[in-house]
Amino acid sequence: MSDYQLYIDGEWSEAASGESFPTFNPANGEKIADIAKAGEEDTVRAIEAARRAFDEGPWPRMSGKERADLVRKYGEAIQAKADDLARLETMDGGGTIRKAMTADTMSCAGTFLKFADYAETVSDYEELPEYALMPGLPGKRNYLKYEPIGVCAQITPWNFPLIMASWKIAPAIAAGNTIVLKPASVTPITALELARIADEVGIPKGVVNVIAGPGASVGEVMAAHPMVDKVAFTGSTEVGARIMALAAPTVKKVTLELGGKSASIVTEDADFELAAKGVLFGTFFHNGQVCESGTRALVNEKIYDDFVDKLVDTAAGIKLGDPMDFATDQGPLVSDTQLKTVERYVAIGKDEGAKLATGGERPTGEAFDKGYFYEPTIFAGVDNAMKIAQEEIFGPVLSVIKVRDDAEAVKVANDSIYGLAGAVWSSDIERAQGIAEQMRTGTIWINEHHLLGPEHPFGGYKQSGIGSEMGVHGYNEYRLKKRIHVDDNLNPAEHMTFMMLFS
Amino acid sequence: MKITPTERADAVVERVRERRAGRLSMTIGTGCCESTAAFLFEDHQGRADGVVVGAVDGVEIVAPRWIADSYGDDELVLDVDMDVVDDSMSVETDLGCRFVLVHPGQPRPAVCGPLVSDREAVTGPEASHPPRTPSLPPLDVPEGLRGMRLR
Repeated sequence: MSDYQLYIDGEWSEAASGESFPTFNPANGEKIADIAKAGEEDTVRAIEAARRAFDEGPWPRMSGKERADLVRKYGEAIQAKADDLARLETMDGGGTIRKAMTADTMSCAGTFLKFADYAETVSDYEELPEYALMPGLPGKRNYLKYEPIGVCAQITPWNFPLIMASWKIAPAIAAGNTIVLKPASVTPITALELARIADEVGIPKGVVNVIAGPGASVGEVMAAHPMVDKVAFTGSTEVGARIMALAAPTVKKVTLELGGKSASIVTEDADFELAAKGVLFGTFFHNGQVCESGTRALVNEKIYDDFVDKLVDTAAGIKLGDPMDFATDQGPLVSDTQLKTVERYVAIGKDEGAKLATGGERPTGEAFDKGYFYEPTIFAGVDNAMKIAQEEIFGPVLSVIKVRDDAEAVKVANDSIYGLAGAVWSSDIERAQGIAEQMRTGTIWINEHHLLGPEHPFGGYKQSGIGSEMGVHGYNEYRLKKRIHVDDNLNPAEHMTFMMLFS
Repeated sequence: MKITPTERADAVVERVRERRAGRLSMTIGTGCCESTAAFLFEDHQGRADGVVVGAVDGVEIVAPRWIADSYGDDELVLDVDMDVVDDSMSVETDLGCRFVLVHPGQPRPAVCGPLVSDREAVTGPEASHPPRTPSLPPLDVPEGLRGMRLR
């Protein structure tokens, strides 16, 4: 019996198998709730419900204004429940309550509100220019009509359950699509709470369907099912590739946001205090469990040693503890699996000769005994060819790499299979922009990190993904473009194209 | 890079074969919430730059060349975490477990519990109901965070 059932076609139900799985608080190991465990049969049922809602239901046929009103109501309801959602997010995922209140819930609600605006204000029509090769043709007009794609299968990761769900649901439904969302199995609760809110605010049945369950049985069906028109996925690069392969036979649209190993470049003229705090924020925010974390700090050799000292001193002030305490800076990692992955990479870093400058252990004490805590860890003397500099650890581990000058910094930053994000820390903004524009990556912050907004597109270069989310660009990833050519000239003799066939 | 499976890992692949009729392949993938991990797929088109770095119960383990080169002769152990609901699409998750890569120096449990799929499923029909939200701890919001609103 589940505390959280599957939300399909506007109804809550157990999985067809009757099975459920528990979700735990990573800070203390206590069970939070039992979740209905979807299987193939449930997934197909959810897809069919979304298909019916798209093909026969009111949602895609509503005006943008009508959809906007409901999506706005959805966002406002999330805002009204922000305190509860923040606590659930912290209990389920281990991020601090401060993060949950200032980032997760606000960003989630704000994303719904922004895409409500887009549904209302971004036109479904776009005029196209006249034929350049044959200007002045009589009676001809070309325009685009933007339309929803259809049924969207959406799979989200465990690191930011609310935000990632909002990035998927809000643009898709605002544009008139219907969705089946599978949240990560380790942090499913708040996505299922979002389903409850969809129901409460009157989103028509079948438009939003949320099912939790394992990747192999649920995710594969979502990616391959012929009734699905688009797959949107955030997660590992290998699973992204697998989704592309599964989606290929039916030529689905695919948006992928995958891995990263982002660089934070620190020039010798950077403000020391700002850059040190910024680099650490870029790495250790949410324990480094962020795809765009700046896990490689590329520091000019003129300041390298002093900057490493500054990083170590500043990191010492990061307070680990109960994530529900507003005074805590860093809670536990999300799971035992993730904790062991971090330990594996710390062992690898030591093996390959990096210097452990601080951290590298689980903290000890009663407060930490039952949770998946790990100290903020900094490796100095790292070569970019090392595994800890090339592979995404997804934990609180920073590799500090010495570079001679800006040119070498750019070269090292770009020496990665990924290209998701990056940062430049410098007092010379023009110089920083020059560096930023040479980095092969989808987002760069100058003297900042992690700041993402619903107005701004986010997507990766190279093996970090395909397409973008958020902003009007992300909105358009959920719309098809139909070109319509109108000719009101009814005289066949004046249709120049006919000359190609009729002599 | 050399990947050596534990007996548990071999046994899990054998069990997967009983459930899946397609061709199995294992690939070492990277990135995001999985970090570098092993993925067992059915009927999956492998990568062109793959290098064989081991085998588990007769299934070749293939890594991208850049990772294989990066590890040189270094070894990782392929083991299994039991009792997990995982999102990786790696097909052993059908059995309620997940392959994990382990540094040879990392301690691992000598004995793991049975596969979830071998246990009696906890099932029971129940009427539909909205979420039963767990009880929440009190929230004493600091002054600086009160009144934060969008727009």
